[in-house]
Amino acid sequence: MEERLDEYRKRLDKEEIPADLLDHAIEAGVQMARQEQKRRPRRIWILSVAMVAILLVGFSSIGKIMELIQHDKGLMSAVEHEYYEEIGVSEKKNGIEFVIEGAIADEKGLVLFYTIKTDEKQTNLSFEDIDLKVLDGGKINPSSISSGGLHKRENSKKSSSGMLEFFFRDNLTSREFQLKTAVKGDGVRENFSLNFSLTKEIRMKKVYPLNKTVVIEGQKIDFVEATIFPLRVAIHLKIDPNNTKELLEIEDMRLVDEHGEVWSKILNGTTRTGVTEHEFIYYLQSNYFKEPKELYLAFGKIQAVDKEYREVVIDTEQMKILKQPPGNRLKGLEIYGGDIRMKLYTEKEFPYGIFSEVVDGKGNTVDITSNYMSSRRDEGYTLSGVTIPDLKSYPNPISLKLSFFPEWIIGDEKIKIK
Amino acid sequence: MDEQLAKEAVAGDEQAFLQILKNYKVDLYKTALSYLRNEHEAIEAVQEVTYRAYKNLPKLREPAFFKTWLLRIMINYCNDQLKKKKRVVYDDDLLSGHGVEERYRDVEMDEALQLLDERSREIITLKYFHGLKIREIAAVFDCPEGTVKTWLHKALKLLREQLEEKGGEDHGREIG
Repeated sequence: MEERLDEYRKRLDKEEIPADLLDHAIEAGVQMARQEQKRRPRRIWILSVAMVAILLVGFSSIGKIMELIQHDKGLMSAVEHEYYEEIGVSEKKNGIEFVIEGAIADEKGLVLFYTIKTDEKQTNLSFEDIDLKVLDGGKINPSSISSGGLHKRENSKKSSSGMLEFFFRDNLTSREFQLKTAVKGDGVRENFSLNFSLTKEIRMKKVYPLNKTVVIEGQKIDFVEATIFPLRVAIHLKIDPNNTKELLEIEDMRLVDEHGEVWSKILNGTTRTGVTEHEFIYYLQSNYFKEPKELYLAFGKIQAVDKEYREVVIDTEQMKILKQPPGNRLKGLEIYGGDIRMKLYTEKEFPYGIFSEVVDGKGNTVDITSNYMSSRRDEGYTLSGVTIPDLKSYPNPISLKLSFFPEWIIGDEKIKIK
Repeated sequence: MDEQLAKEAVAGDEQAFLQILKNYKVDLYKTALSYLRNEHEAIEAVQEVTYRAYKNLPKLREPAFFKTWLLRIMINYCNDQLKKKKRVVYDDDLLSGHGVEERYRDVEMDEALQLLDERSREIITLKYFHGLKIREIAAVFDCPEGTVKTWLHKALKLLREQLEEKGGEDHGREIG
Protein backbone atom coordinates (compact mmCIF):
# COMPACT_ATOMS: atom_id res chain seq x y z
CA MET A 1 0.00 0.00 0.00
CA GLU A 2 2.66 2.46 1.07
CA GLU A 3 4.75 1.44 -1.91
CA ARG A 4 1.90 2.20 -4.23
CA LEU A 5 1.38 5.60 -2.62
CA ASP A 6 5.06 6.24 -3.05
CA GLU A 7 4.85 5.31 -6.69
CA TYR A 8 1.88 7.63 -7.11
CA ARG A 9 3.92 10.44 -5.56
CA LYS A 10 6.77 9.74 -7.97
CA ARG A 11 4.42 10.05 -10.91
CA LEU A 12 3.23 13.35 -9.56
CA ASP A 13 6.86 14.40 -9.24
CA LYS A 14 7.32 13.86 -12.93
CA GLU A 15 4.78 16.52 -13.82
CA GLU A 16 6.39 19.52 -15.39
CA ILE A 17 6.51 22.54 -13.16
CA PRO A 18 5.56 25.86 -14.78
CA ALA A 19 7.94 27.70 -12.47
CA ASP A 20 7.58 31.16 -14.00
CA LEU A 21 3.81 31.01 -14.03
CA LEU A 22 3.83 29.94 -10.39
CA ASP A 23 6.07 32.86 -9.47
CA HIS A 24 3.62 35.17 -11.22
CA ALA A 25 0.71 33.58 -9.42
CA ILE A 26 2.44 34.06 -6.06
CA GLU A 27 3.27 37.68 -6.80
CA ALA A 28 -0.25 38.34 -8.01
CA GLY A 29 -1.63 36.70 -4.86
CA VAL A 30 0.45 38.93 -2.61
CA GLN A 31 -0.55 41.96 -4.61
CA MET A 32 -4.21 41.03 -4.37
CA ALA A 33 -3.99 40.75 -0.60
CA ARG A 34 -1.94 43.90 -0.21
CA GLN A 35 -4.22 46.03 -2.37
CA GLU A 36 -7.21 44.74 -0.50
CA GLN A 37 -5.70 45.87 2.77
CA LYS A 38 -5.36 49.37 1.41
CA ARG A 39 -8.63 49.78 -0.42
CA ARG A 40 -11.49 47.77 -1.73
CA PRO A 41 -10.55 45.06 -4.18
CA ARG A 42 -11.52 45.75 -7.72
CA ARG A 43 -9.23 45.41 -10.68
CA ILE A 44 -6.93 42.84 -9.23
CA TRP A 45 -9.66 40.23 -9.51
CA ILE A 46 -9.61 40.49 -13.26
CA LEU A 47 -7.25 37.56 -13.68
CA SER A 48 -9.49 35.24 -11.75
CA VAL A 49 -12.59 36.70 -13.33
CA ALA A 50 -11.06 36.02 -16.72
CA MET A 51 -10.31 32.43 -15.72
CA VAL A 52 -13.84 31.92 -14.46
CA ALA A 53 -15.16 33.48 -17.64
CA ILE A 54 -13.19 30.97 -19.66
CA LEU A 55 -14.46 28.06 -17.60
CA LEU A 56 -18.08 29.09 -17.59
CA VAL A 57 -18.65 31.02 -20.79
CA GLY A 58 -16.00 29.14 -22.70
CA PHE A 59 -16.49 30.54 -26.11
CA SER A 60 -17.45 34.13 -25.91
CA SER A 61 -15.06 36.19 -28.02
CA ILE A 62 -13.28 37.91 -25.14
CA GLY A 63 -13.13 34.66 -23.14
CA LYS A 64 -11.31 33.04 -26.03
CA ILE A 65 -8.87 35.90 -26.26
CA MET A 66 -8.21 35.92 -22.53
CA GLU A 67 -7.44 32.21 -22.73
CA LEU A 68 -4.93 32.76 -25.53
CA ILE A 69 -3.07 35.53 -23.74
CA GLN A 70 -3.18 34.28 -20.18
CA HIS A 71 0.59 33.70 -20.17
CA ASP A 72 1.31 37.31 -21.08
CA LYS A 73 0.60 39.95 -18.43
CA GLY A 74 1.20 42.73 -20.92
CA LEU A 75 -1.42 41.55 -23.39
CA MET A 76 -3.86 40.85 -20.55
CA SER A 77 -3.35 44.38 -19.34
CA ALA A 78 -3.88 45.80 -22.86
CA VAL A 79 -7.24 44.01 -23.02
CA GLU A 80 -8.18 45.20 -19.52
CA HIS A 81 -7.41 48.75 -20.62
CA GLU A 82 -9.65 48.38 -23.66
CA TYR A 83 -6.73 48.64 -26.01
CA TYR A 84 -7.97 45.50 -27.82
CA GLU A 85 -10.00 46.28 -30.89
CA GLU A 86 -12.73 44.09 -32.33
CA ILE A 87 -12.55 43.42 -36.05
CA GLY A 88 -14.95 40.60 -36.88
CA VAL A 89 -14.08 40.06 -40.53
CA SER A 90 -14.55 36.58 -41.98
CA GLU A 91 -14.47 34.52 -45.13
CA LYS A 92 -15.94 31.05 -45.66
CA LYS A 93 -14.92 28.67 -48.40
CA ASN A 94 -15.62 24.95 -48.87
CA GLY A 95 -16.48 24.30 -45.25
CA ILE A 96 -13.66 26.35 -43.69
CA GLU A 97 -14.34 29.74 -42.16
CA PHE A 98 -11.51 32.08 -41.24
CA VAL A 99 -12.44 34.86 -38.83
CA ILE A 100 -10.24 37.75 -37.73
CA GLU A 101 -11.76 38.41 -34.33
CA GLY A 102 -9.72 41.40 -33.27
CA ALA A 103 -6.32 42.99 -32.88
CA ILE A 104 -3.89 44.74 -30.60
CA ALA A 105 -1.43 47.01 -32.39
CA ASP A 106 1.38 49.33 -31.47
CA GLU A 107 4.06 51.23 -33.37
CA LYS A 108 6.12 48.12 -34.06
CA GLY A 109 3.75 45.21 -33.85
CA LEU A 110 0.36 43.79 -34.65
CA VAL A 111 -1.29 40.83 -32.95
CA LEU A 112 -4.29 39.38 -34.75
CA PHE A 113 -6.68 37.02 -32.98
CA TYR A 114 -8.37 34.55 -35.27
CA THR A 115 -10.76 31.63 -35.21
CA ILE A 116 -10.94 28.89 -37.79
CA LYS A 117 -14.25 27.05 -37.92
CA THR A 118 -14.62 23.90 -39.97
CA ASP A 119 -17.67 21.86 -40.91
CA GLU A 120 -15.73 18.65 -40.29
CA LYS A 121 -13.68 18.01 -37.18
CA GLN A 122 -9.98 18.66 -37.75
CA THR A 123 -7.03 17.28 -35.83
CA ASN A 124 -4.22 19.01 -37.64
CA LEU A 125 -4.77 22.52 -38.92
CA SER A 126 -1.85 24.58 -40.13
CA PHE A 127 -1.05 27.76 -42.02
CA GLU A 128 0.90 27.47 -45.24
CA ASP A 129 1.64 31.07 -46.16
CA ILE A 130 1.01 34.21 -44.22
CA ASP A 131 1.25 37.51 -46.00
CA LEU A 132 0.28 40.92 -44.66
CA LYS A 133 -0.03 43.89 -47.02
CA VAL A 134 -1.01 47.48 -46.43
CA LEU A 135 -3.73 48.91 -48.64
CA ASP A 136 -3.33 52.62 -47.91
CA GLY A 137 0.11 53.15 -49.40
CA GLY A 138 3.49 52.53 -47.89
CA LYS A 139 5.19 49.24 -47.19
CA ILE A 140 5.66 47.05 -44.21
CA ASN A 141 8.39 44.54 -43.75
CA PRO A 142 7.51 42.19 -40.99
CA SER A 143 10.76 41.32 -39.23
CA SER A 144 9.02 38.40 -37.65
CA ILE A 145 5.76 36.55 -38.09
CA SER A 146 4.63 33.92 -35.68
CA SER A 147 1.53 31.81 -35.75
CA GLY A 148 1.88 30.16 -32.36
CA GLY A 149 -1.32 28.67 -31.09
CA LEU A 150 -2.34 26.69 -34.14
CA HIS A 151 -0.73 23.33 -33.68
CA LYS A 152 -1.50 19.68 -33.71
CA ARG A 153 -4.23 18.89 -31.26
CA GLU A 154 -4.81 15.63 -29.49
CA ASN A 155 -8.54 16.01 -29.95
CA SER A 156 -10.22 16.87 -33.17
CA LYS A 157 -12.20 20.08 -33.13
CA LYS A 158 -14.49 22.13 -35.28
CA SER A 159 -13.17 25.42 -33.98
CA SER A 160 -9.64 26.59 -33.18
CA SER A 161 -8.43 29.97 -32.07
CA GLY A 162 -5.00 31.47 -32.06
CA MET A 163 -2.85 34.52 -32.55
CA LEU A 164 -0.81 35.77 -35.47
CA GLU A 165 1.96 38.08 -34.34
CA PHE A 166 3.71 40.48 -36.68
CA PHE A 167 6.61 42.67 -35.65
CA PHE A 168 7.96 45.35 -37.97
CA ARG A 169 11.27 47.05 -38.58
CA ASP A 170 9.66 50.37 -39.46
CA ASN A 171 6.87 52.14 -37.66
CA LEU A 172 3.41 50.93 -38.40
CA THR A 173 1.46 53.90 -39.72
CA SER A 174 -1.06 52.14 -41.97
CA ARG A 175 -4.67 51.63 -40.99
CA GLU A 176 -5.87 49.42 -43.88
CA PHE A 177 -4.55 45.90 -44.31
CA GLN A 178 -4.96 42.73 -46.27
CA LEU A 179 -4.13 39.35 -44.79
CA LYS A 180 -3.58 36.48 -47.20
CA THR A 181 -3.07 32.98 -45.96
CA ALA A 182 -3.69 29.35 -46.77
CA VAL A 183 -5.18 27.02 -44.17
CA LYS A 184 -4.48 23.33 -44.44
CA GLY A 185 -6.44 20.59 -42.69
CA ASP A 186 -7.04 16.85 -43.14
CA GLY A 187 -7.51 16.61 -46.89
CA VAL A 188 -8.38 20.27 -47.41
CA ARG A 189 -6.50 23.42 -48.27
CA GLU A 190 -8.08 26.84 -48.79
CA ASN A 191 -6.74 30.29 -49.59
CA PHE A 192 -8.13 33.25 -47.71
CA SER A 193 -7.83 36.94 -48.34
CA LEU A 194 -9.34 39.29 -45.78
CA ASN A 195 -9.30 43.07 -45.67
CA PHE A 196 -9.50 44.81 -42.33
CA SER A 197 -8.83 48.19 -40.82
CA LEU A 198 -7.61 49.43 -37.47
CA THR A 199 -9.42 52.38 -35.93
CA LYS A 200 -8.01 52.63 -32.44
CA GLU A 201 -5.38 55.28 -31.92
CA ILE A 202 -1.91 53.75 -31.59
CA ARG A 203 -0.32 54.43 -28.20
CA MET A 204 3.20 55.82 -28.43
CA LYS A 205 6.22 53.95 -27.10
CA LYS A 206 8.10 55.21 -24.03
CA VAL A 207 11.89 55.21 -24.30
CA TYR A 208 14.21 55.16 -21.29
CA PRO A 209 17.97 55.43 -21.85
CA LEU A 210 19.87 53.09 -19.51
CA ASN A 211 23.57 53.77 -20.31
CA LYS A 212 24.80 51.35 -17.71
CA THR A 213 27.58 48.76 -17.77
CA VAL A 214 27.13 45.69 -15.63
CA VAL A 215 29.97 43.33 -14.72
CA ILE A 216 29.18 39.80 -13.56
CA GLU A 217 32.08 37.46 -12.83
CA GLY A 218 34.29 39.70 -14.93
CA GLN A 219 31.98 39.68 -17.98
CA LYS A 220 30.67 43.04 -19.19
CA ILE A 221 27.29 43.94 -20.64
CA ASP A 222 26.30 47.47 -21.70
CA PHE A 223 22.63 48.24 -21.32
CA VAL A 224 21.63 50.83 -23.90
CA GLU A 225 17.94 51.52 -23.50
CA ALA A 226 14.54 50.17 -22.57
CA THR A 227 11.58 50.83 -24.86
CA ILE A 228 8.12 50.17 -23.50
CA PHE A 229 5.51 49.35 -26.12
CA PRO A 230 1.94 48.23 -25.38
CA LEU A 231 2.72 44.76 -26.80
CA ARG A 232 6.15 44.19 -25.28
CA VAL A 233 9.18 45.82 -23.70
CA ALA A 234 12.44 45.84 -25.67
CA ILE A 235 15.74 45.90 -23.79
CA HIS A 236 18.66 46.83 -26.01
CA LEU A 237 22.06 45.61 -24.82
CA LYS A 238 25.60 45.12 -26.07
CA ILE A 239 27.93 42.38 -24.95
CA ASP A 240 31.60 43.31 -24.58
CA PRO A 241 33.54 41.52 -27.36
CA ASN A 242 36.52 41.26 -24.97
CA ASN A 243 34.67 39.06 -22.49
CA THR A 244 36.42 35.75 -21.79
CA LYS A 245 33.10 33.94 -21.81
CA GLU A 246 30.44 33.78 -24.47
CA LEU A 247 27.24 35.03 -22.84
CA LEU A 248 24.44 32.93 -24.26
CA GLU A 249 21.21 33.80 -22.51
CA ILE A 250 20.16 36.07 -19.65
CA GLU A 251 17.68 33.65 -18.15
CA ASP A 252 15.89 35.65 -15.53
CA MET A 253 15.69 39.14 -17.02
CA ARG A 254 12.60 40.87 -15.65
CA LEU A 255 11.03 44.20 -14.82
CA VAL A 256 10.26 44.96 -11.19
CA ASP A 257 8.30 47.94 -9.92
CA GLU A 258 8.39 49.64 -6.53
CA HIS A 259 5.88 47.13 -5.11
CA GLY A 260 7.87 44.12 -6.22
CA GLU A 261 5.49 43.25 -9.05
CA VAL A 262 7.34 41.38 -11.77
CA TRP A 263 7.08 41.22 -15.56
CA SER A 264 9.13 38.38 -17.02
CA LYS A 265 10.29 37.44 -20.46
CA ILE A 266 7.83 36.66 -23.22
CA LEU A 267 6.92 33.01 -22.66
CA ASN A 268 5.37 32.24 -25.99
CA GLY A 269 6.95 34.06 -28.88
CA THR A 270 10.11 35.95 -29.73
CA THR A 271 12.25 36.29 -26.61
CA ARG A 272 15.30 37.93 -28.14
CA THR A 273 16.65 39.07 -31.49
CA GLY A 274 20.20 39.73 -32.54
CA VAL A 275 21.09 43.15 -33.94
CA THR A 276 24.74 42.35 -34.60
CA GLU A 277 27.02 39.60 -33.31
CA HIS A 278 27.38 41.33 -29.94
CA GLU A 279 24.16 43.32 -29.78
CA PHE A 280 20.79 41.99 -28.76
CA ILE A 281 17.25 42.99 -27.98
CA TYR A 282 15.48 41.04 -25.25
CA TYR A 283 11.70 41.13 -25.06
CA LEU A 284 9.74 41.23 -21.83
CA GLN A 285 6.03 41.25 -21.07
CA SER A 286 4.79 44.80 -21.15
CA ASN A 287 3.80 46.98 -18.22
CA TYR A 288 2.86 49.84 -20.53
CA PHE A 289 -0.50 50.45 -18.90
CA LYS A 290 0.77 50.12 -15.34
CA GLU A 291 2.72 53.40 -15.09
CA PRO A 292 4.66 52.46 -11.95
CA LYS A 293 6.45 55.20 -10.01
CA GLU A 294 9.71 53.30 -10.08
CA LEU A 295 10.79 50.62 -12.49
CA TYR A 296 13.88 48.43 -12.47
CA LEU A 297 15.45 45.88 -14.77
CA ALA A 298 16.63 42.92 -12.72
CA PHE A 299 18.59 39.77 -13.58
CA GLY A 300 21.38 37.60 -12.27
CA LYS A 301 21.49 34.26 -14.00
CA ILE A 302 23.29 34.18 -17.32
CA GLN A 303 24.14 31.10 -19.35
CA ALA A 304 27.79 31.43 -20.29
CA VAL A 305 30.60 29.20 -21.56
CA ASP A 306 34.30 29.92 -21.99
CA LYS A 307 34.78 31.29 -25.51
CA GLU A 308 37.01 28.36 -26.31
CA TYR A 309 33.96 26.12 -25.93
CA ARG A 310 31.33 28.17 -27.69
CA GLU A 311 31.07 25.44 -30.32
CA VAL A 312 30.52 21.75 -30.06
CA VAL A 313 32.65 19.97 -32.65
CA ILE A 314 31.68 16.57 -34.03
CA ASP A 315 32.86 14.12 -36.64
CA THR A 316 29.94 12.61 -38.53
CA GLU A 317 31.95 9.72 -39.97
CA GLN A 318 33.60 8.56 -36.76
CA MET A 319 30.35 9.44 -34.94
CA LYS A 320 32.30 11.21 -32.24
CA ILE A 321 31.92 14.39 -30.24
CA LEU A 322 35.40 15.89 -30.60
CA LYS A 323 34.92 18.92 -28.42
CA GLN A 324 32.37 20.16 -25.91
CA PRO A 325 32.35 22.29 -22.75
CA PRO A 326 34.03 20.52 -19.79
CA GLY A 327 31.79 18.12 -17.89
CA ASN A 328 30.84 15.81 -20.79
CA ARG A 329 27.17 16.65 -20.48
CA LEU A 330 26.65 15.88 -24.17
CA LYS A 331 26.44 12.21 -25.02
CA GLY A 332 24.89 9.82 -27.48
CA LEU A 333 25.56 11.53 -30.81
CA GLU A 334 23.15 10.17 -33.40
CA ILE A 335 22.76 10.85 -37.09
CA TYR A 336 19.57 10.02 -38.94
CA GLY A 337 19.64 11.16 -42.53
CA GLY A 338 20.18 14.87 -42.24
CA ASP A 339 19.50 15.04 -38.51
CA ILE A 340 22.29 15.50 -35.99
CA ARG A 341 21.10 14.76 -32.45
CA MET A 342 22.70 14.74 -29.04
CA LYS A 343 21.57 14.11 -25.51
CA LEU A 344 22.30 16.86 -23.01
CA TYR A 345 22.34 15.53 -19.46
CA THR A 346 21.33 18.00 -16.74
CA GLU A 347 20.34 17.69 -13.07
CA LYS A 348 17.37 19.99 -13.55
CA GLU A 349 15.09 20.55 -16.48
CA PHE A 350 16.81 22.50 -19.24
CA PRO A 351 14.18 23.21 -21.88
CA TYR A 352 16.31 24.67 -24.65
CA GLY A 353 17.38 23.51 -28.09
CA ILE A 354 21.04 24.36 -27.61
CA PHE A 355 22.37 24.73 -31.15
CA SER A 356 22.12 27.62 -33.58
CA GLU A 357 24.59 28.08 -36.45
CA VAL A 358 26.50 25.23 -38.02
CA VAL A 359 29.86 25.51 -39.79
CA ASP A 360 31.60 22.75 -41.79
CA GLY A 361 35.22 21.63 -41.80
CA LYS A 362 36.18 24.27 -44.38
CA GLY A 363 34.65 27.09 -42.40
CA ASN A 364 31.55 27.47 -44.54
CA THR A 365 28.18 28.12 -42.94
CA VAL A 366 25.75 25.25 -43.35
CA ASP A 367 22.01 25.82 -43.86
CA ILE A 368 19.82 24.36 -41.15
CA THR A 369 16.20 23.65 -41.99
CA SER A 370 15.09 22.94 -38.45
CA ASN A 371 16.34 23.18 -34.93
CA TYR A 372 14.49 21.25 -32.26
CA MET A 373 14.55 19.87 -28.76
CA SER A 374 12.65 17.29 -26.82
CA SER A 375 12.68 16.97 -23.06
CA ARG A 376 13.21 13.48 -21.60
CA ARG A 377 13.20 14.56 -17.99
CA ASP A 378 12.48 11.10 -16.62
CA GLU A 379 15.73 9.93 -18.21
CA GLY A 380 17.62 13.05 -17.17
CA TYR A 381 18.35 14.59 -20.55
CA THR A 382 17.14 16.94 -23.25
CA LEU A 383 17.54 15.86 -26.84
CA SER A 384 18.77 18.68 -29.08
CA GLY A 385 18.94 18.39 -32.81
CA VAL A 386 19.38 20.18 -36.10
CA THR A 387 18.32 19.11 -39.57
CA ILE A 388 20.74 19.70 -42.43
CA PRO A 389 19.74 18.78 -45.98
CA ASP A 390 22.52 16.89 -47.73
CA LEU A 391 24.47 16.50 -44.51
CA LYS A 392 26.90 13.99 -46.07
CA SER A 393 28.16 16.56 -48.57
CA TYR A 394 29.78 18.72 -45.88
CA PRO A 395 33.41 18.03 -44.88
CA ASN A 396 34.18 17.16 -41.27
CA PRO A 397 34.61 18.28 -38.58
CA ILE A 398 31.22 19.95 -38.14
CA SER A 399 30.96 22.76 -35.58
CA LEU A 400 27.63 23.53 -33.91
CA LYS A 401 27.51 26.92 -32.25
CA LEU A 402 25.86 26.95 -28.84
CA SER A 403 22.99 29.32 -28.24
CA PHE A 404 22.09 27.89 -24.83
CA PHE A 405 24.04 25.77 -22.36
CA PRO A 406 23.59 24.74 -18.69
CA GLU A 407 26.52 26.71 -17.25
CA TRP A 408 25.96 30.01 -15.61
CA ILE A 409 27.56 33.13 -14.24
CA ILE A 410 25.60 34.45 -11.30
CA GLY A 411 25.10 37.97 -10.04
CA ASP A 412 22.30 40.05 -8.61
CA GLU A 413 21.77 43.17 -10.69
CA LYS A 414 19.13 45.85 -10.60
CA ILE A 415 19.20 48.73 -13.06
CA LYS A 416 16.93 51.70 -12.57
CA ILE A 417 14.78 52.34 -15.63
CA LYS A 418 12.82 55.16 -14.06
CA MET B 1 12.78 25.11 6.34
CA ASP B 2 14.41 28.31 7.38
CA GLU B 3 12.70 29.18 10.65
CA GLN B 4 14.19 32.64 10.69
CA LEU B 5 12.61 33.39 7.33
CA ALA B 6 9.26 32.18 8.61
CA LYS B 7 9.52 34.39 11.67
CA GLU B 8 10.31 37.39 9.53
CA ALA B 9 7.35 36.66 7.30
CA VAL B 10 4.98 36.34 10.25
CA ALA B 11 6.41 39.61 11.58
CA GLY B 12 5.27 41.26 8.35
CA ASP B 13 8.32 41.08 6.07
CA GLU B 14 6.83 40.76 2.62
CA GLN B 15 10.05 39.70 0.90
CA ALA B 16 10.43 36.86 3.39
CA PHE B 17 6.85 35.82 2.75
CA LEU B 18 7.38 35.83 -1.03
CA GLN B 19 10.56 33.80 -0.61
CA ILE B 20 8.81 31.14 1.46
CA LEU B 21 5.95 30.87 -0.99
CA LYS B 22 8.41 30.51 -3.85
CA ASN B 23 10.33 27.85 -1.91
CA TYR B 24 7.13 25.85 -1.52
CA LYS B 25 5.59 26.57 -4.89
CA VAL B 26 6.31 23.08 -6.21
CA ASP B 27 4.68 21.42 -3.16
CA LEU B 28 1.67 23.70 -3.45
CA TYR B 29 1.34 23.19 -7.19
CA LYS B 30 1.56 19.41 -6.98
CA THR B 31 -1.01 19.28 -4.23
CA ALA B 32 -3.34 21.39 -6.35
CA LEU B 33 -2.63 19.22 -9.37
CA SER B 34 -3.41 16.02 -7.48
CA TYR B 35 -6.75 17.44 -6.35
CA LEU B 36 -7.83 19.53 -9.33
CA ARG B 37 -6.03 17.60 -12.08
CA ASN B 38 -5.74 20.61 -14.32
CA GLU B 39 -2.68 22.77 -14.80
CA HIS B 40 -4.43 26.12 -15.19
CA GLU B 41 -6.64 25.57 -12.19
CA ALA B 42 -3.62 24.50 -10.18
CA ILE B 43 -1.78 27.73 -11.03
CA GLU B 44 -4.87 29.71 -10.14
CA ALA B 45 -5.00 27.79 -6.86
CA VAL B 46 -1.43 28.81 -6.03
CA GLN B 47 -2.42 32.45 -6.53
CA GLU B 48 -5.49 32.12 -4.35
CA VAL B 49 -3.62 30.27 -1.62
CA THR B 50 -0.92 32.95 -1.61
CA TYR B 51 -3.66 35.50 -1.15
CA ARG B 52 -5.32 33.57 1.68
CA ALA B 53 -2.01 32.86 3.41
CA TYR B 54 -1.03 36.52 3.28
CA LYS B 55 -4.34 37.59 4.78
CA ASN B 56 -4.29 34.91 7.47
CA LEU B 57 -0.62 35.22 8.34
CA PRO B 58 -1.34 36.77 11.77
CA LYS B 59 -3.24 33.58 12.61
CA LEU B 60 -0.20 31.35 12.09
CA ARG B 61 0.87 30.56 15.63
CA GLU B 62 3.86 28.37 14.99
CA PRO B 63 6.21 29.60 12.20
CA ALA B 64 8.02 26.25 12.28
CA PHE B 65 4.97 24.65 10.68
CA PHE B 66 4.65 27.12 7.84
CA LYS B 67 4.73 24.46 5.15
CA THR B 68 2.07 22.29 6.75
CA TRP B 69 -0.05 25.36 7.30
CA LEU B 70 0.25 26.38 3.63
CA LEU B 71 -0.57 22.89 2.44
CA ARG B 72 -3.68 22.86 4.62
CA ILE B 73 -4.87 26.12 3.12
CA MET B 74 -4.30 24.61 -0.30
CA ILE B 75 -6.19 21.43 0.54
CA ASN B 76 -9.12 23.40 1.95
CA TYR B 77 -9.21 25.54 -1.15
CA CYS B 78 -9.11 22.46 -3.42
CA ASN B 79 -11.91 20.78 -1.48
CA ASP B 80 -14.03 23.91 -1.94
CA GLN B 81 -13.23 23.99 -5.63
CA LEU B 82 -14.15 20.33 -6.07
CA LYS B 83 -17.51 20.99 -4.45
CA LYS B 84 -18.12 23.95 -6.75
CA LYS B 85 -16.96 22.02 -9.78
CA LYS B 86 -19.68 19.45 -9.32
CA ARG B 87 -22.18 22.20 -10.00
CA VAL B 88 -20.49 23.59 -13.10
CA VAL B 89 -21.53 22.24 -16.47
CA TYR B 90 -18.51 22.04 -18.68
CA ASP B 91 -18.23 23.02 -22.23
CA ASP B 92 -17.48 19.95 -24.34
CA ASP B 93 -14.37 21.41 -25.90
CA LEU B 94 -12.93 22.39 -22.57
CA LEU B 95 -13.58 18.97 -21.17
CA SER B 96 -11.80 17.22 -23.99
CA GLY B 97 -8.90 19.63 -23.49
CA HIS B 98 -8.60 18.54 -19.89
CA GLY B 99 -8.22 14.89 -20.73
CA VAL B 100 -4.80 15.43 -22.22
CA GLU B 101 -3.21 16.39 -18.94
CA GLU B 102 -3.99 13.16 -17.21
CA ARG B 103 -1.37 10.98 -18.79
CA TYR B 104 1.02 8.97 -16.65
CA ARG B 105 -1.30 8.88 -13.70
CA ASP B 106 -2.32 5.96 -11.62
CA VAL B 107 -5.96 6.40 -12.52
CA GLU B 108 -7.21 3.87 -9.99
CA MET B 109 -5.37 5.65 -7.21
CA ASP B 110 -6.72 8.98 -8.42
CA GLU B 111 -10.25 7.67 -8.20
CA ALA B 112 -9.74 5.96 -4.87
CA LEU B 113 -8.33 9.16 -3.37
CA GLN B 114 -11.29 11.11 -4.65
CA LEU B 115 -13.70 8.77 -2.94
CA LEU B 116 -12.10 9.25 0.47
CA ASP B 117 -13.55 11.66 2.99
CA GLU B 118 -11.79 15.02 3.09
CA ARG B 119 -9.81 14.41 6.25
CA SER B 120 -8.52 11.01 5.19
CA ARG B 121 -7.37 12.38 1.85
CA GLU B 122 -5.71 15.33 3.53
CA ILE B 123 -3.82 13.14 5.98
CA ILE B 124 -2.58 10.86 3.19
CA THR B 125 -1.56 13.84 1.05
CA LEU B 126 0.43 15.42 3.87
CA LYS B 127 2.01 12.20 5.10
CA TYR B 128 2.80 10.37 1.88
CA PHE B 129 3.05 12.99 -0.84
CA HIS B 130 4.83 15.62 1.21
CA GLY B 131 6.58 13.40 3.73
CA LEU B 132 5.40 15.38 6.75
CA LYS B 133 5.90 13.94 10.20
CA ILE B 134 3.01 12.93 12.45
CA ARG B 135 4.19 15.63 14.86
CA GLU B 136 3.95 18.34 12.19
CA ILE B 137 0.49 17.24 11.14
CA ALA B 138 -0.68 17.11 14.75
CA ALA B 139 0.59 20.63 15.33
CA VAL B 140 -1.47 22.19 12.59
CA PHE B 141 -4.56 20.13 13.31
CA ASP B 142 -4.07 21.15 16.92
CA CYS B 143 -4.65 17.65 18.21
CA PRO B 144 -2.60 14.92 19.92
CA GLU B 145 -0.23 12.85 17.79
CA GLY B 146 -2.19 9.75 18.77
CA THR B 147 -5.27 11.13 17.07
CA VAL B 148 -3.35 11.74 13.84
CA LYS B 149 -2.08 8.16 13.96
CA THR B 150 -5.63 6.89 14.36
CA TRP B 151 -6.83 9.02 11.45
CA LEU B 152 -3.95 7.87 9.29
CA HIS B 153 -4.64 4.24 10.11
CA LYS B 154 -8.28 4.71 9.22
CA ALA B 155 -7.44 6.60 6.03
CA LEU B 156 -5.13 3.84 4.80
CA LYS B 157 -7.75 1.23 5.58
CA LEU B 158 -10.40 3.15 3.62
CA LEU B 159 -8.03 3.67 0.72
CA ARG B 160 -7.20 -0.03 0.64
CA GLU B 161 -10.89 -0.87 0.60
CA GLN B 162 -11.54 1.53 -2.24
CA LEU B 163 -8.72 0.00 -4.24
CA GLU B 164 -9.81 -3.54 -3.48
CA GLU B 165 -13.34 -2.83 -4.66
CA LYS B 166 -11.85 -2.16 -8.03
CA GLY B 167 -9.52 -5.11 -7.57
CA GLY B 168 -9.17 -7.84 -10.13
CA GLU B 169 -9.54 -5.39 -12.96
CA ASP B 170 -6.65 -4.79 -15.24
CA HIS B 171 -4.58 -1.95 -13.89
CA GLY B 172 -4.55 0.23 -16.99
CA ARG B 173 -2.42 2.87 -15.36
CA GLU B 174 -1.21 4.69 -18.41
CA ILE B 175 -3.76 6.28 -20.61
CA GLY B 176 -3.20 8.55 -23.57
